[in-house]
Amino acid sequence: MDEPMSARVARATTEGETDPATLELMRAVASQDRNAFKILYERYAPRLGSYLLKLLKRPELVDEAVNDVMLAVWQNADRFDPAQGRLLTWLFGIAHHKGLKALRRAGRSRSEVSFNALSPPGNDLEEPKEALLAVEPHHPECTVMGWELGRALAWALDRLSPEHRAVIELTFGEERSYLEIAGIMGCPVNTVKTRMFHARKKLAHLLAQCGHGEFVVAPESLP
Amino acid sequence: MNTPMTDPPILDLAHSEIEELLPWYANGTLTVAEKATVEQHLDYCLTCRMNLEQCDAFATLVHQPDEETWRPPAGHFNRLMAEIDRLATPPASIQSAKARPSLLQQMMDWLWATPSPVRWTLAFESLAVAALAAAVWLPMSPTAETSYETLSRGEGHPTVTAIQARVVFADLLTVGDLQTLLDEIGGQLVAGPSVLGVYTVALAPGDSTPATALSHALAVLRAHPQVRLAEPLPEVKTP
Repeated sequence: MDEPMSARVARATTEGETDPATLELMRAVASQDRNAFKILYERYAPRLGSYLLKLLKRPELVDEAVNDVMLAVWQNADRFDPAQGRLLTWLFGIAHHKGLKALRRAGRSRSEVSFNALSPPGNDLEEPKEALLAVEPHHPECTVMGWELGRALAWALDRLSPEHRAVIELTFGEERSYLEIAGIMGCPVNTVKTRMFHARKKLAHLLAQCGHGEFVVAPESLP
Repeated sequence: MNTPMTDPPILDLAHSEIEELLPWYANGTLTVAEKATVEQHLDYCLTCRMNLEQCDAFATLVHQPDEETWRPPAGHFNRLMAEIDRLATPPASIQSAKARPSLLQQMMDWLWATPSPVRWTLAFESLAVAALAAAVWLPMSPTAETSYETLSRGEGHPTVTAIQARVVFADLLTVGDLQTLLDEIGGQLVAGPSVLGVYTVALAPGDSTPATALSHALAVLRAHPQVRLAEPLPEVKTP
């Protein structure tokens, strides 16, 4: 029997409750308690910064992006509603939004063309097949077969769109549920699943170009 | 055999729907029912097992120990707090707009900011200017009804001018001599000089009769070396 979405959302919210001590901390931050804010910063800023580092793939942008995130937290702490989800999900949502904003800003300042090459958010429900195969098959970097896997992954992730990179990182790196990711990215659950499908396929394809074909699942086995 | 009550419900999901859940099965965030449904499906679906292996491999890769991490650079938090403080302080333009002092207040502030000798000098000069302005303006203020009169129509002039004489004075007669002469005869200039240099002198008879006064006046005038002509005028009634 198919479970109604509302029930699943409600259950996931309950499972993801924020603990009372963290709620107390957030209340203190909302009342402009600087000591509480410092505790919050030390607890979450490194994790949010690491996520932003993977999302942006531009280390020079991360310090400022983290700054923007924590500033938004300070200014909007009273808007955090524990009934709507966990604190970490709320924080990741702010980080994701600020990260994409930083990318757009940097893209404008460097080159409009380079940013346009990235897939804009929300248009990948029906991602064209060409986009999946848009990677240059004989990219010079790919000619060095047998790359060390970690380096190959970093290269491949760098070539995903920020939205695809985010869904991979939030799922496998931060171990967020698809409901939480939908909240973080501000999109429907089905969009999250679709993005994940395309991100996995593209990632496997890119890794195969670097000599790691073991990630490719036979085409006929994919939906 | 009955299913135990604790067994999770199996959801009625299509193959594609289950495959979509595999990444979150791999990261352990599915609900109990979803997890049970996926596990049941994996028992017989080779494709989903392959996709699950892919997801597990991605999860392992992303979790590599040498994965990129971010650590706050030195002073990052302090810079953040400085930014917060800066935003909490309204811009100078807003501050000035919100509490712009009056012109008087600005002048007082400026005055108190000046050295004491300069301040006292300025105060003295300001008072002097104010006094000068008062001296110039106060007499011109309409404090009382003022009546204006000409020399020939003054209040102190005789109202009855029945006795008048026409007089021509010599050019050498001074104003002082003229005043002495007029005092002596009890007369006042009421007109003239005409084109021919003739003045009209009105005589106040005093205690004597008009004829006596006139003859006395004419005698005095004619005796004066600076009077060329002294003649009686016909009697004239004035209002």
